[in-house]
Parts: sequence; structure tokens; C-alpha cells
Amino acid sequence: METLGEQKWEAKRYAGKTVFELEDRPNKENPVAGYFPEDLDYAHPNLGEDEVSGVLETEGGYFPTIPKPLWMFYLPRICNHCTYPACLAACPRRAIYKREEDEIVLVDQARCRGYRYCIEACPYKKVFFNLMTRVAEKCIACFPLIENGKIPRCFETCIGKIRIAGFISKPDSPNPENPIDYLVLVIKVALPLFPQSGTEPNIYYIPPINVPLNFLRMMFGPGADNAVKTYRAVMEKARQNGLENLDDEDLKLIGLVTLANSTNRIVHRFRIIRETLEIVGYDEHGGGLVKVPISEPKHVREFYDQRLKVYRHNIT
Amino acid sequence: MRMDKLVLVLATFALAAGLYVSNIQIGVTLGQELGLTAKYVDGQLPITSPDSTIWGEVEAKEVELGPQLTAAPWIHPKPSIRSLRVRVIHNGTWVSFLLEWNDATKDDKMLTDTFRDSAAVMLALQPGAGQCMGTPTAEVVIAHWKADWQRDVNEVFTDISELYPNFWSDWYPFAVGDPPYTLPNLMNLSTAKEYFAGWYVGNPLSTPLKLTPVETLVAHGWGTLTTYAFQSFIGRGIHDGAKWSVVISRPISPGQADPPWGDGGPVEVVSAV
Repeated sequence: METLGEQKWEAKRYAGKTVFELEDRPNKENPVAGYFPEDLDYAHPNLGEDEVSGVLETEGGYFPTIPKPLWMFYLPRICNHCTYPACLAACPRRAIYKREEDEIVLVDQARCRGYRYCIEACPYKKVFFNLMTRVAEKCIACFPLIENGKIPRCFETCIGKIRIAGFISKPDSPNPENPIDYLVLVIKVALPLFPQSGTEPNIYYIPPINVPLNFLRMMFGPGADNAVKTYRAVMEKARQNGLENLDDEDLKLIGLVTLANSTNRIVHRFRIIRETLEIVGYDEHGGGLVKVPISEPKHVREFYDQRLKVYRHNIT
Repeated sequence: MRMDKLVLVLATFALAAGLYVSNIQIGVTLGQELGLTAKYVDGQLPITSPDSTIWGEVEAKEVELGPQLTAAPWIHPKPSIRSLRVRVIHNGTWVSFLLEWNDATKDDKMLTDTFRDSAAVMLALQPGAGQCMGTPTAEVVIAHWKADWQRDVNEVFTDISELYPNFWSDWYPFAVGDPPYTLPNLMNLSTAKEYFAGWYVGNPLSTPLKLTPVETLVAHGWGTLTTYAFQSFIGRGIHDGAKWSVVISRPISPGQADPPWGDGGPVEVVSAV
């Protein structure tokens, strides 16, 4: 983003230049404006990942507030398999291609000759130079799994169970029964990272709601305000009124969060069962894949254990 | 080829039958002409010996390098290597090119942000192939010497332990033996090779087993450079602290599988460093 310099948003429309249009780019040999990383940039890839941002003002005592003065969040970043891949545009050998069937972007390992224009061009730095094979490599979105109707491995093994993989419709014709369409195109709580790059990345994030909005706008664009507002409102309603009193739309958002990672198959369609507060995922042929309770059973124990004559630390 | 210290395109010359080089144009835009004769040498050629005394008996031609500005990746008009000394010899069976250029740094390792030294000779064996990468109907043959391949051949495959002496990797899937693992002997199982995709699919840049530092390629236009099925060029480069001396050699008629020299008519040749 430093390469792009100062650019403008007009309301929610990006009016600046993208990596494809910047004439004043660092490397004129490369048709795409980018940053060519130094070897040392890869030396400590996780340096600082657990550090917090913000300033804790302690003078006069500290009182917890929302948003919290200190905050951090993890941002899992894989290749975005962009609609307009900068890596593909930069490759003078046409060794990078986008598959027609699923739009996965791949580096042809037989054609690549290690020129590394793609590494410079990718705004997300998701193409890497393999020092052993001396050619560029990147995430393949586990395409053999996708071809078999399954989600990629990093989605399947996500310990937070917060990833959903699927296919997205064109922006002007969303299918509200498709999980991805619903989150990205209908209620717009899931946003692309650094949309101003112009590559139209295809990984979408639900922004963390307790992070300062200025920061989220920088990362996800002006849509962050609406995403946080929508998500927070639904969660607030659920907390105050209970799930059973939410309307169908609000239930869908909570249901989809619950549905994430509950199956290793790609969910093409979902449906809420209000009576039982469950969400059902279907495959591309309409076959049922998984049924998940939106509300987990809650058990509350007595604060004081009569038998052991001790107080419990955790009663739920 | 992205090469921060390399300059592409330098010389065009007609190689007549009998390997008499009659007319060299140095860089398309420079319009300079040189005469260079491929000297006949009786007996064996120093096909992989840039330091052979035979070369001292051959007249060298100073070739001025011009920037390649036709297609990306183009080279900026301020190349760091401005000239090249070329010698050509033959013995009726083999032809050898000796390319020499001043370069105080020996770049034969590749990290993410470093590029190797290399040099190439391009033969436009078919009429109309032009001076730059050929055309869709007339392909060119290219011999590309690479300093990192030379290191692989001279010493040992430059793997991670060579690039980062303090690097330590623990368990690696399907490797044989104990760490530090080395290529190719400890990774030769097909299951281990799958983790080196370029090697697994046969990309010559990725194979840790290099037989020669020179790669034979063909091209029929910009962006079409492809490793040729028949590897007919061999060579060797040495760096003496101040300059590279690289010899690139090929049999004149290595067999039917190789692109033939043509019908005996003039052949355009372009060199690049």
C-alpha cells in the first residue's frame, strides 16, 4: 500500500489508482506496481504477530472500555486467488494461469523460470521463491480437494472453526441461500483485504468488531463500518433477546458462523430451521451435508459444591 | 530474464557455412559492425575449458552491449555490463564460443532478492527468425549458461544449508536419513519429491542433478522460451575475481533430434549477458 501512495475513496467507491494503473511504480520493468521483498523480509515472518496495538492510558486508573485501548487480532492470510491476479499480469512467461472451472490461480511449475516478477507484483506477498527449486510457488487452494467437492485443508483444520469455503455468484445476481453470497454480497459483513489493490481478492474477512474502525477501514475499506455495525447488532440482539426471538435474517448470520467447519464438504446452500434452531448445509445437488444446532446447550452448576464443600471457579 | 546486472542482446552476426563469421552487427540500434572469424583448430577443442591456452591464439572481438527494450522484461538503458569479448573456434565437428566480461562480483547463489550471473548465445537457425527470440514461424535456439548451475556442477547442489549455514530444519516429510537433509540423495523418494513441485514435474531449473551449466532452449517469439528436449550445448564458466570467462560449445551436427544448423546458408547469432 505504500507503493500505491495516497489515493482516494469517494464514499464507498474507490477512486484511486490500482496496482495495475500506477505509472510511477518502483520497477518500470514490471507492468504491475509492487514491492520486491528483500531476503531478510522472510527471516522472521511471525515477528510481532502476538503484539498488541494501541496505548494503555494508566494515569488516573484503568477502566475497561469498548473498544478496548489495547487490541490485536490474527489475520490468516493465504493466496486470495484474485479475480484479476497481479502475479498473472506480471509474469512475462505466462506461467501463471487462472483455471476456468474454479478460478484458482496456479503457477505452472514446469513453465516458471524464477524471474520473480510475480513476487514483486502480488500486493499480498503470497507468491514465494522456493530457494531449492528456484522457481515461484504459491497456495494452490488444494484444488484436488475442491475438484472433489471438499474444502481446502487449511479451512478444514482451522482450530477456530471460522472458515467457510465456497463459490461466489456475480455481484449483481447473488443467491441468498448460498453461504458465501449471503455473507459477502447480501449482508456484506465479509470484506476483501486491501480492496484498493484492484485485484479483487477472493478471500473475505468478517472484521473483528472490537478493533478501532479507522484501522479496519484501512484494511478492509469503507465497508468495514457497515460490517461491524451489522455483526455487532445481531450479536447484541441475540444476547439480549435470545436466539429464539431473532428474526430469520439475524439467525442466518449466527447460523452460518456456527456452520463453518462443521463439514469438510463445500456447502452450496443453507437453510435455517427456526423450530429447532438448526442450520442445514446442502451440496451442489441439493443433498444434505450437515445439520448443526445454532444454539449450544447451556448448563449452569451451583456456585457452591455441597459434596466437596468448595466454591467452583467456573459454573457454566 | 530479470537480471539486475545483466544486459540482454549484444551481437548479431552471420555465420556462414564453414563457420566463417563474416558480418557482426553489435546491437540492433548501435549499427556497429565487426568481422569475426571462427578459427579452425585442428584436434580437440577446449569445449569446457575457458582457461585453455588455445583461446590465447584466437583473436577476441570486443562487442558492445545494447539494452533489450523490445519486450518485458526489458533492461533499463543503463546496463552494468557494457561490453563482452567473444572468441569462436571450430574443428569441423564442434564449435565453441568463449564469452568474457568484466565483473568483480561472482553471483552464483540465488536468494529471494538476488539474481545469478548468466550468459547466452542465440542461434537463429531458420531464415526470418530475427534477432530477438524468434517469431511464431521461425524459432531460435538458445544456449544459456548459468552461474548457479555452474556452482551446482562444480561443488554441490546449493541447497538451504549452503545458502544459510546456520539454518536448521527438523523433521521433513518422506526424507531419508537424518537432518540436515540434502538434495538430491536424501529426498529422492517420489513422495519426498512431491514437495519440490518444480523438480517433480521435471523443470530443469529445479532439478538438483545438473549435468552441465548450459541449458539448451528454443523460442518462437517473446514469452515462449522453452527448454529443448535435446540438450546439445555444454560449457563451463570460471570467475577469476575480476571477470567471467564462459565457454559454450555444441557439436555442429549432433543428430537429427537437435535443431540442425540449417541449409548451410547464413545464420544469425545473438549473444546476451
